[in-house]
Amino acid sequence: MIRFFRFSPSRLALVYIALSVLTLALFAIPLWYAWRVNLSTFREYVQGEEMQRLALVFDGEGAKGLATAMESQVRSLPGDKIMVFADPSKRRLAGNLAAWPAEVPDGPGTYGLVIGLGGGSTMRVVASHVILPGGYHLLMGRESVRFESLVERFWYGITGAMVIVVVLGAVIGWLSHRALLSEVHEISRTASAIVKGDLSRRVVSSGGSHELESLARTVNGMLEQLARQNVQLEGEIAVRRKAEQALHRAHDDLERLVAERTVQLARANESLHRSETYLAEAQRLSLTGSFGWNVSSGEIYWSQETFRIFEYDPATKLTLELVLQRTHPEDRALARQVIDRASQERKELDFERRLLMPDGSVKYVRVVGHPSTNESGNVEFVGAVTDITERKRTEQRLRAQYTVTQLLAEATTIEEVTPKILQTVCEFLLWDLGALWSLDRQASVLRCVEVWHKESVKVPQFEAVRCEITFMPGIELPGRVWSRHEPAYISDVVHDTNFPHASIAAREGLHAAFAFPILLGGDVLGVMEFFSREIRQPEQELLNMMATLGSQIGQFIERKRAEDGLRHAQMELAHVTRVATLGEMTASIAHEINQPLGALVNNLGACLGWLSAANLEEARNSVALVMDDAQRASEIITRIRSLVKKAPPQKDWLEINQTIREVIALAQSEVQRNHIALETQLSDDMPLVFADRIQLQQVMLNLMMNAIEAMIQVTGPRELLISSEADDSKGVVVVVRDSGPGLDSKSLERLFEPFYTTKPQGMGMGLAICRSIVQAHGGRLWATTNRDRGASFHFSLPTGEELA
Amino acid sequence: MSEPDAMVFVVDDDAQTRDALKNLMRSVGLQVEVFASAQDFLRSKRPDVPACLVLDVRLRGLSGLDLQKRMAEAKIEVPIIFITGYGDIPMTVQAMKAGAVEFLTKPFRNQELLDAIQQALERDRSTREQRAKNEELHTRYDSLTPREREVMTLVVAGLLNKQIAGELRTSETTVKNHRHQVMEKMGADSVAELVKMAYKLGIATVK
Repeated sequence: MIRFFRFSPSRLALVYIALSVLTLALFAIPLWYAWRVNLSTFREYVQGEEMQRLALVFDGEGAKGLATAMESQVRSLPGDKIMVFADPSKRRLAGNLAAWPAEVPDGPGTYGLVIGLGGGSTMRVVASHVILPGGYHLLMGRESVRFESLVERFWYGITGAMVIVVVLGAVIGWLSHRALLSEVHEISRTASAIVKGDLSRRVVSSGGSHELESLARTVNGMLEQLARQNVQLEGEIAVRRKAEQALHRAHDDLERLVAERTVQLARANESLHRSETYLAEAQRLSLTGSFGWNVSSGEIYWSQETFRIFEYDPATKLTLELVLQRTHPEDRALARQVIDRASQERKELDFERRLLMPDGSVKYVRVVGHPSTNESGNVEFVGAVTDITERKRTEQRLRAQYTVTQLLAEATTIEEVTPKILQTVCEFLLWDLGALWSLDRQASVLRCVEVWHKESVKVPQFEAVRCEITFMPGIELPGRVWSRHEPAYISDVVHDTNFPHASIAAREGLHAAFAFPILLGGDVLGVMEFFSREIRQPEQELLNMMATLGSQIGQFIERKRAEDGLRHAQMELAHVTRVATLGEMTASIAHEINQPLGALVNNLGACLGWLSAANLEEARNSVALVMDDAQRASEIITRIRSLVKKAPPQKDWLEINQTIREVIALAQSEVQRNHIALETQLSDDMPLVFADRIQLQQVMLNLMMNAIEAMIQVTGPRELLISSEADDSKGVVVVVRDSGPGLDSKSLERLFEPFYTTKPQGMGMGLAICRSIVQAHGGRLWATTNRDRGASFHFSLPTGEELA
Repeated sequence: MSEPDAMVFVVDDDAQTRDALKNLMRSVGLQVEVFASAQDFLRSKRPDVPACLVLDVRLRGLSGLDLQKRMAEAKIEVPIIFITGYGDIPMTVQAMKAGAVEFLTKPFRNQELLDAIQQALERDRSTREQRAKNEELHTRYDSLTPREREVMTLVVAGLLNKQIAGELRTSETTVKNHRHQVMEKMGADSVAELVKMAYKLGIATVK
C-alpha cells in the first residue's frame, strides 16, 4: 500500500478525488433514498383509508358536535398522535392546539409544521389540511419526529462526508510528500554508497516522477561503468594472488612427500619382513604351501610348506616330473591331464589329488592356481597346495558312519546288511577288502562268513584261504581282536609275526589291515576285518569309530534276535488261538464239509442210475458234478488247513472282500446253526491291501465268532452285519456289527488286553491277537457300542496308495 | 408239453446240493423243479399233478419250517420231505407234527430220499383222488331239490317210506318217487352206499 502511494503523487491525487466522490455518494445516496421513501410513505398515509373514514363523519352543520366526536375518536386511535383542529369561524381551534398555525396556507395540502400546543410546548408534525364542506378547515397531523430527524440526519451525513473528505485529502497529501522524498533519499543513499566504495548498489526507482526516474537511471548507468572497470582490475589482482599461493603449496607438498616416503619405506621394510614370517607361519598352520610355475621355462618355485607337504628336501631342484612322481599312481594320469590343459588354455587350476609318500602313506591335497602373463609374455601360475588329508579322512569317516547307521536302521536281517556294511567301509574309507568273521559257539572258533572286495581287486588265493580257515582266540588278526575285545591295527601284515597268511598277502599285494569286534554287552559276536593294498600307519580315530560301529552292529543283532523271538512268539500265539477258534467251530466245519459230500453222494447215486439206464451223457455230467463237489470239499479243507497251518506271515496284495467272503463261507454253518441273519454290505470299489491273508482271515473269523457268541445270549433278533468300505483318511475299513448284549464301558476299555475275557472257555487272547495283527499291518482295531443294541468291531487297513 | 404224471420240488439254497438232488431224481425218471428260496417256490406256478417238496430246513430268508407254515395257511397241500445238515430233536418234532412226510439228516443215503419221495407222491396221489371223489359227491348232492334232500336225510336215518310220508305229510307214492330220484342223482346203488355218502357229506345223523 505504502509502495503504491510512493509510486506517484499525481496518481495519489486521482485516488483522492475518486475516494471523495465515493464518500459523498456513499452518504448522499442512502439519505436521498430515505428522504424519498419517507415522503412517499407520508403521502400514502395522508391519502390513506383512515383519513377518508374520518372525513365521512363530518357534517357542515354540526361542526361543534363533530369536533367533539372527532376528538374522542382521534384520541382513541392507537399509534402516533393525530390531532384534529376545527375553527368555528371556519378556523376554530380544537383539541390541544394552542393556535392555528400561521404557516398553514389557505388551500388544502400536506405540510411539515411546528405547532404550538398548550403550555408552550411544540410538536413537529406532518399535517394534512383539508377544507371540508361548510367551510370547516380540518388539519390532521401526525407527529413527525422520524421525518424531521431524517432531514437532520441528512445534514449531519453531508457534514460527516465533508469531514472525511478533508481528512482523506490531508492524509493523501502527506503520503505523496513522503513518496517524493523517499525517491530523493534513495538517490542520496546511493551516492553516499559510491563514496564509501560500494559499487554494487543501484538506485531503486519507485517511479514517483519522470525526472527522478531519469536521474536514477543516469546514476545507475554511471555505476555500471564504474563497476565494470573495477571487476577488470580485481580479476588481474586475483590471478596474481592465486599463482603465488600455488607456488607455496607446491613447495609444501614436496617437503611432505619426501618425509612420508622416508617413513613408508621404513615401514614397508618392516612389514615385508613381518609378512614373510607370518606367511610362513600361516602356511604351516593351515597346511597350505604356495607355488609358482613358469610354464615355458618350466621353472618351479615352492614355499617351505609346499616342500614339507610333498616331503621333498627344500634343496631339491624341482621339476614337473618330480611333482607327478609324488602323485598317487591312480591319480597321476588325471593330474597330468589337468595340468596340461590348464597350461595350454591358461585356465584357473583347481583340483584334488592324492600323493603317495615314500613310506606308503597317502595324502590328499587340493591345488589351486591362477595363470598370469609376465612382462616377457610367459605364462606363469601362482597358487597354493593344501594338505586336506585330515579333513578328507574325517569327512569319509563321518559319511561311512552315517551310511552304516542308516543301513542298520533300514535292514531287516544281519545277513542282508553285512555285505553292505563291508562295502560301505571299503568304499568310503578306501580299503580294498573286507570280511566278516562270525563266532561259532559250538566249535568256539571264528569262521569267515562274508568277504567283499571291489571287482578290480584280485586276491583269489587270499580270499580262498580266508574262507576255509577258522581262528582260535588270539590267533591272527581276528583272533587277536576276539581275545582282546578291542580293535587292532597292522600297518603291514607282510611283516607281522602273528599273521599266517603273510606270504599270500605279500604275493597278492595286501598290506595294512585292521579289525574290530562286534560286541554285545562284553561278548564278541563276530569280527570285521579290512585290508588295504597300501602300507598305512595306524589311525586312532578310525579305530575309535570302528569300535563304535562294532557295538552298533552288536545292538542291531540283539535287536533283531529279540524281534525274531517276539515275532515267533506272536506267530505261535496266533496259531494257537486260530486252532482254538476252529476247535469251537468243529460242528459247523463238519456240516460245511457234509454239504458238498452230501451233494457228491447224490450225484454218484444219480450217476449209477444214469449208467443203468445207459444214459452215458447224463452219467458223464453226473461225474463232472461229483468232481465239482469233491473240489469244493477239498477247498474247504484247504481253507481250514491253511488256518491251522503254522506259517510265517507272508504279505501279499489282496482283495479284502475276497478274504471276508472266505471267512463268511467258513462260518456260514455257525451262522445258520445259531439262527443268525447275516447281511453283508461289501463295497464294490475297494482298493487292494498289502496283508497276510491268513492273519486277516483270523481277525475276521475271530470277530465273527465273537459276534455270534455274543448273540447266542440274547433272545431278540440275531442280526450280524459285515460291511466294508474304502475311506479316504483311514484306508479300508471293515465293520462287524452284532445285535448282542453290547459292551459296557469297562469292557470297552479292557477288551483288547491279553487274558481279558468274558467267556467261560475263552483264553482272552483272541482280540489281543487281532489287534496286534491289525497293528502289524499298519491299521487300527477298535470297538464301539451300537446305538440300538449290540456292539461293532471296526478295523482299518492302509491301502496301496497310502503305502506308496 | 404234456402234463407230467408227478412232480418233485426241491428248495435248497445251496446250488451244488440243489443240482445234485435234481440230477439224482432225474436219473430215476422223476420230474423235478428246483428253487433257491422259499419265496421262489411260493411264487412259482405249479402243475396240478401229484407232487412232493424236498425242503432244506435252514434256508436264508424264509426258513423251511416257515415255508411249511405258510403252505398250510395258503392250503398248498404238497407233502414235505425235510432235509438238513444238522437236525435237532425239537426241530424234527415240529416238522413232523406239522405233517412232514420224512425228516432226513445229511448225509443220507440216496435210496432213503428216493423212498421218501415215492411215499410222499403216493400219499399225495391218494389224497388227490379222495379229494376228487369228495368233490363229485358234493356236486351230486348239490343237484338235489330241497325236498329230495329232506327225503335223503330221512332215508339214511333209516326211516321207511311210510314213516317218511308221515313225517313230511305227503303220500307214500310221492316219497317213493323222491327216493328214486335221490338214488339216481347221487349214483347210489343201495341205501347202504347212500348212507356212506351221507357220512362223507356230514349229513348223516344217528337216530
